[in-house]
Amino acid sequence: MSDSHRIRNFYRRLLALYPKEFREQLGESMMQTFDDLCDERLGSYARGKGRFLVSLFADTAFGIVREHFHAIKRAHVMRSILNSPSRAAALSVILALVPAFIFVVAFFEIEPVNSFLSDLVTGPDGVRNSVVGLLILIGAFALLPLAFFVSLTPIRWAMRAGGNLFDHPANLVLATVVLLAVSAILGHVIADQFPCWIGTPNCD
Amino acid sequence: MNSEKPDIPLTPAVFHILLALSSGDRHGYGIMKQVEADSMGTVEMGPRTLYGSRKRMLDAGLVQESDRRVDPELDDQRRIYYKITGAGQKALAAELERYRHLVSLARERRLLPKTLAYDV
Repeated sequence: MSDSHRIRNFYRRLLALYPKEFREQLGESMMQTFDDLCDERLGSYARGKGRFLVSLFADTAFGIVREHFHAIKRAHVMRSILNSPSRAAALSVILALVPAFIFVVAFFEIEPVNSFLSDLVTGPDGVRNSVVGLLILIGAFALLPLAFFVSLTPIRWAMRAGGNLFDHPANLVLATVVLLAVSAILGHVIADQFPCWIGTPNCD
Repeated sequence: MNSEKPDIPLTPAVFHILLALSSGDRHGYGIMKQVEADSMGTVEMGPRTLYGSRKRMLDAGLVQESDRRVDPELDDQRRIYYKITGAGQKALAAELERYRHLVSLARERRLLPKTLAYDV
């Protein structure tokens, strides 16, 4: 198989990663344009061949990500999840599982995950805090308030439509549990760090 | 964009694709080359921008597939051509009108270089 055949086959495989609707509507035309571009850029001279192909494939790869993003937006996936109380509850549980896992690992000092998390926060020298590690940890715990809002959304929408707070009891229980968890974590952080905030010596 | 009033301002990519199709039906590569020529080489459109914009333009009814197929002796018979629709022409006209207004505003405020100020 020649180089140009291999490149063409690779591009065809890459196009298969586009969302189905996009592929069906524009896939053939994209393949034709690719052939035209290759005839122009690869046929006449060899210099810059690699650069051209890399930029073309990178451009296409970005396009795939972008079109999937647009497809998700068009399908209103998030709205359809939040419209269903059971799906909203399931998403809320999934979101809450990440910080819950970190909390359990840290609280019960489960190794080796606990050491891994400690290293992530303190950085390679074990002394100074790693900004990236802290951001990851804060991001993980930020999923808790998000889980609270996801769980609560079907209730809010039901109340706006004339329903009441107890229309979706499972979501209400879940939102309450998540809210309690957020309060407990915040309370623990405040109690733990309060001495440092008021200037007590040798606190960490 | 299908409504009576076109959705302007258009993105630069959509504007250039409409401008390229305003002078005739073209296939993907043809649009790329026309955009390059229209912009005097300043706009180079990659497949991502071209097809991403074209998808949204097809959905919005600004362009559509053309029935035109070139003689297979001269070109690939399966080649897909696109043409501008009535809504696309309206959107392009509205965008050009917007540009015309901006240019006249710039002329009033003496922002254009002298040579251009007399040409426009």
